[in-house]
Amino acid sequence: MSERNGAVLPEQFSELNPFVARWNNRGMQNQYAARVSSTMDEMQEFYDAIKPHIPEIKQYLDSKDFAEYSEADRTLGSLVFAWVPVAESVEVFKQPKVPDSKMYWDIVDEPQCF
Amino acid sequence: MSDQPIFKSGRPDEGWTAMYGLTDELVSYEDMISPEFFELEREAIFRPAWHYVGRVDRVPKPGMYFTKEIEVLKASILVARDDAQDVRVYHNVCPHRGNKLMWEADASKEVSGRCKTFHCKFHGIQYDTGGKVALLTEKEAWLGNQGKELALAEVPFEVWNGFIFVNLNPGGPKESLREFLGEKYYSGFDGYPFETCSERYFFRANAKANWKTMIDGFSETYHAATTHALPFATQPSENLLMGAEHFGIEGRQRMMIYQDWGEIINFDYEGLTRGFGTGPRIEFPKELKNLPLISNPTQIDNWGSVSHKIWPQMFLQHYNPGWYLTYMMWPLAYNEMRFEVEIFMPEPRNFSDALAQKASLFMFLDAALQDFSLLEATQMGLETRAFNQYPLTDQEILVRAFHKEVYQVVEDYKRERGAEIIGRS
Repeated sequence: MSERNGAVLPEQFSELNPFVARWNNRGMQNQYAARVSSTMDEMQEFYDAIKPHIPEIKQYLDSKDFAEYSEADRTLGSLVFAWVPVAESVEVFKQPKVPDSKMYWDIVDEPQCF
Repeated sequence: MSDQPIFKSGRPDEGWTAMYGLTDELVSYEDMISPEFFELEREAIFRPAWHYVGRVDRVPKPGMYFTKEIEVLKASILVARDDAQDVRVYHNVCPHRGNKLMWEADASKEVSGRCKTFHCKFHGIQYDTGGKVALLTEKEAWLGNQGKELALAEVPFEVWNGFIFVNLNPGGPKESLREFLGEKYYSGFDGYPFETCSERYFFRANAKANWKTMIDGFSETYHAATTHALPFATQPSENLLMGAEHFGIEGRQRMMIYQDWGEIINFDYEGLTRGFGTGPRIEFPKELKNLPLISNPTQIDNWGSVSHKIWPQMFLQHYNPGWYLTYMMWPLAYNEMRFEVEIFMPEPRNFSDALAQKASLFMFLDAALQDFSLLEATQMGLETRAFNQYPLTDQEILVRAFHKEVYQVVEDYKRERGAEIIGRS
């Protein structure tokens, strides 16, 4: 855990390194759990930091096959996946949980892209 | 989004309800709140039915297996690929002392994996992938041939377009899968490349609600304008905003088509990820877009989704531009269910594809939570018996048709059983 959370991002995205420890969660279940256990302030900060970099991150990662990804690339990709449920909370729901809901999914299986 | 209907409905002049020979009579939901009715459903509906348990793609190689719990019939199923490359389906039970065979940590949970033999945790007997004893422990202690003749019990199954269906009717299937689905459904999907969507997501959630509440929820589309006002950004309106284009009834199978509601970017993250609540908007293999005639009988070009409701508790739904999903609404009790979602997407070509897929699935899960959270409220509301009967709109034709069928099948079962009991005495 500590090793993974200590991972760094590819050089050109190093300014996002401070977000790795908290938001480098692998798998949708963990990415969603991070959202519902965070405050809106924490999410707003992460949301604002990642958002402007997304086109550049897509361009950078699209230039490689999944098999060629370094650990730093995987961390970068996971960080963007983790950003999605956060963005939903920030842009749509304005709260960590979906309004009028108490349960959540058991995410049993998902493809490991990289 | 403005206060305008977002597409013109393909509604026939007389309306869908009249077109399918149904009336506007009020509907009772006693079938969702009565424990006695549920016990009858178990025997009348679930016992004789064919049940989808997983796709053949989950066991591509010899020794691969997965288990499936079917609580409503108190069954545990073991699906495997044997050493001769054939799919096999067994009861997941050791024939020695009746111990559940394949499980880990919590015997009520499903497992999957790959092994050379199935190994019983009780006395260590091992079974090969063909279901015969591979290793008999305490060999000398067995009486006669009882040990070496142990074999897993096979469950009748059929594979339809890669979907494995099992039948748990005592004494064997009452009808073949072809008869169960009806000829049009059985052969209607032939040649459609389901296997191209090789990426499988599997989500699961339980709710304290009758299994039919969820089926009813997915049997019309127009609730989306309210339930999913966020993120669809709809406003309260007296117009039909998100109605279905077409409803089909074919024997016990039902279908519904809605048009593509368009690429409406209401939020920045949708544009950045290319993920939407209705799926990723990225390039898909072309052949996936060409739906079989049964899924697009009116040959609409701009179809958004086509939902097939397969009797009794399955949905098979296509989404533009060609991914698909299955829903299973498994009853656990009259007021409790497990909802399972399997989503199948084509392999992402790159990170952008993967992001669009994951993003659309996060949105899908949140949208489905909006649906799902309503169910317990529906169950509680119905159980108050504040009303005994309820109206349904023309857009709810499939809800009306489904409950009618459920009542009919249970009535038929009671009549047959009554005749049986009278005949015996």
